Amino acid sequence: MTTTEMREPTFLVLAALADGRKHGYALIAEAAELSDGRVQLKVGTLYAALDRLGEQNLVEGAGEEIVGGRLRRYYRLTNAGAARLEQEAARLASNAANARAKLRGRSAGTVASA
Amino acid sequence: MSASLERRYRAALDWYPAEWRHANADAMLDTLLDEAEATGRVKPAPAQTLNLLAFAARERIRTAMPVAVRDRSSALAWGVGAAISVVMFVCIEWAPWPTADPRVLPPGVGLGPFMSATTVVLGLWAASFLAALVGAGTIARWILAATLPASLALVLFDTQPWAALRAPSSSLLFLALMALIALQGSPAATARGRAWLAVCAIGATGFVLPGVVHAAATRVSDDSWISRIAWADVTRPLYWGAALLGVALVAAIARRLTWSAAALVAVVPSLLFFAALLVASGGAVILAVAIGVATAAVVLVRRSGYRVVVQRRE
Repeated sequence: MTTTEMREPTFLVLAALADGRKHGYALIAEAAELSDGRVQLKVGTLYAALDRLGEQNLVEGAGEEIVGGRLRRYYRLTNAGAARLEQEAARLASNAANARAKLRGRSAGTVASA
Repeated sequence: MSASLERRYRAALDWYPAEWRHANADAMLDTLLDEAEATGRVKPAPAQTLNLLAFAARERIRTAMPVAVRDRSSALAWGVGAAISVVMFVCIEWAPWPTADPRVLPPGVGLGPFMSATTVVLGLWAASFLAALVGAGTIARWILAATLPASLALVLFDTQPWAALRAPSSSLLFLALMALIALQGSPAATARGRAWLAVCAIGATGFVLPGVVHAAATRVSDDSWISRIAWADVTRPLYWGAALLGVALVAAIARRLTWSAAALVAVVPSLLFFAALLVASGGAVILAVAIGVATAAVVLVRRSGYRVVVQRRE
């Protein structure tokens, strides 16, 4: 089965969960940090992504607690989620390596033609 | 954190369906309030509220309609919209043949060789369809969504030379409604969905061509069918409504009930036009009574605790 390309917010949510369980706002903050502030997840987007990732068994609930009278829910990566994240990270790294190799070829060609 | 902020976020979360609210609203509220505390916000950010509204609407559609129906109705609407767009572009906006039509472009009017910036809307439709066809679903949806503000701009700025000969509002509205139906499904995500898209577009093109030729041939103002045809001939909602109702009927007879339901969803824009036509022709009272009776029936059924279920016979 071919795996479709992962959208960036989904990738960032999975990456944010890679080092342990997190609650909603921690995920938003971590996704912003991972993307150097470029991706600011909205709450509706985050919970729709978590719902979809839960259906795909890539993410699961990791407990709830009451903090200041409010319900705080934690999420964590499943083993399948970790494998999917690893696969996507490898794909992105491979793309980046290919692009760098092309750029090296270009600069070598530029030097040769000068 | 103010009580008013919490109340307003709760009100926004009320837009979600009950099942979703029960499962997620409290956790979402905590995240919203965490974000407000971290950023020193005292009232909801409009972007955050709009985001909640959009995802609540999406969730309501997901709850009300099975994925299979959504994807099929999306394929039908996308195929019909793309076929209309290509025919409109070639036969009206561009018409690259010598035309005897008196509506030939006056000097200074139009957008290059095209009649108007309606070309942009049609081009976006065609591009979104092609993107969906090659499996770039996200890009396809963004391009299709861009047709909505583009159509609005055409309506708002129709005194500009590039919009003076734009498609009539009814044609743009029909395409916009079809875009909304197309956007609620994701047929581009699977090979089967992409095959549906292709079949729907080919079917719709085959259906529209005889109509176009007939419309062009019966123009009284010119001497041949190769003139620019009239907008209304291609986007006549009742024409497409009849076609989609036909698809629903044939699918029902063939016991393809998912396709039948999908065609009924795709016929909604045409039904809205039919309702508007009824109102315009003095049938407002009949329509109001029909809507009133239907609403009362739905409210009565819901309040009485009953649920209407469609179930296959044993």
